[in-house]
Amino acid sequence: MGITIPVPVAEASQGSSTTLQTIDADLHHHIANWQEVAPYAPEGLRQRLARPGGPPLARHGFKMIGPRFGDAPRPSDANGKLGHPAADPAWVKAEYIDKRGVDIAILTGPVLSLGVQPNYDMAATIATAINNWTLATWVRPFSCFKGSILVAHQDPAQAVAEIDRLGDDPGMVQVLMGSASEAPLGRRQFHPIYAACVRHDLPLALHIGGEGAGMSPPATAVGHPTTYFEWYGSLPQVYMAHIMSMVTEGVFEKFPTLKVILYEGGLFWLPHIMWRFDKNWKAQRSETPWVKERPSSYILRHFYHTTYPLEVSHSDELAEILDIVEGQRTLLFSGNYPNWELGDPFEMITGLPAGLRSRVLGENAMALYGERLFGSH
Amino acid sequence: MSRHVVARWEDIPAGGRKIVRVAGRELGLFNIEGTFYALKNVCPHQGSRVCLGRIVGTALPSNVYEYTYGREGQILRCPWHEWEYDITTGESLFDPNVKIVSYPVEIVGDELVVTI
Repeated sequence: MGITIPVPVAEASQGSSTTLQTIDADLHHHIANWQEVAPYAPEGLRQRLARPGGPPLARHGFKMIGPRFGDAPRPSDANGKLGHPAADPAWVKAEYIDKRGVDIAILTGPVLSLGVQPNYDMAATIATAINNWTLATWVRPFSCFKGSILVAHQDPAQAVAEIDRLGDDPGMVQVLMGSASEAPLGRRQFHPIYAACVRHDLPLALHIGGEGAGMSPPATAVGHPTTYFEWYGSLPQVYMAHIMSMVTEGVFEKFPTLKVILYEGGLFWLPHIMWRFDKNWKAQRSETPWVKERPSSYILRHFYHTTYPLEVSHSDELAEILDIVEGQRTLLFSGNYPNWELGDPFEMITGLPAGLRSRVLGENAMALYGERLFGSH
Repeated sequence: MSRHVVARWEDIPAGGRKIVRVAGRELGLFNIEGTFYALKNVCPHQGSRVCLGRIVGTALPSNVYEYTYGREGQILRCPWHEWEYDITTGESLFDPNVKIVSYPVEIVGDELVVTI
């Protein structure tokens, strides 16, 4: 688009001699042609992925208003027609990874409504196909890309099988589920998925996007929003509900090493539920006697957050909120490439308090994902 | 520190309680299976007369999706906000640092003596 993007200057890492690593926890690689993905699907339903337009996918019906890709770089063909900015891994590496100084990007892909697709088997087939395709075409050829094991959690048994199939693959660094869900994620039918995450020492990533689609309840607790504007703005309440469900249902008592990353949800709402939850627990503890610590301590210990879109317009308040939610440890840089409709992801974090930038850009992710980030694959 | 006769122990049957005023403050006296406890009648949360709350048992800390009811007769629920307190120590069940002031009780002859 002819826009010159400033290259961030690597900064010294808090007096340490280690090289600063920039880890982008959220890069949405794109399927431009399902016929290229179909060969990676299990045979039974493979031909349905290869149909024109791809497999059947229930959608929520909202379409973004405004420049969907913001200032993200886009390839153009010989006729000057602009292509999708995240369909070609070599292009993404050259135009985003290398130019912006990203060392590792974690791929979070295109189908975040998978967990609310009504056809359980179709959803599981799509997950397997995307995972295989991601490994073969993005992760294996490019050391800068790491994969997420996408699962369709409406059928926990198939989700567990997929985690077990790929859980020890060095190219995969986390399990990924859409936060859109038939039921709150603390409910016991999902616990085998968390057991599988823990078994393979993989964090669990939740990503908004499918709310209101397919089998999902309405995207807000009071019914369907009318517009994309309303829908997108309402989504943090989905994370509130999942957090409360996972804590009260004892997920972190059963799986004390499970870590959960909440993508694209912001932060400013979190202190509210921490306080309210702790307050109510003093009287209501006996209803869930396995919740043995104040709820906020589980939240702080088990949940991580991402920077796109970070509430940055009030830097004093940002510092205060980050302090409350222990952002020096729990906040991860997420580029959200190429969905830059809310602005450039690096500009978004310029308001971070001094001392936090290197932690958010890389150290927190390194502490969370560990060796997997840097192993060869 | 001073010692005060606060009640005849026969007036408080097992499982019962009695509210008394002594040395400028109000106390709740509790008899749990023959052992007596004295708590200041002030909730550390917002100052309610906590000793008037329900005397109950509770769900003990347990594994996920298991329910173990126990300590019947030993838990005091504040009448205002239902916070749970262990009558034998005054401590809240959610944080031992949040506690009702408690006083030592002795049986001397027919009488209960509290040291304040």
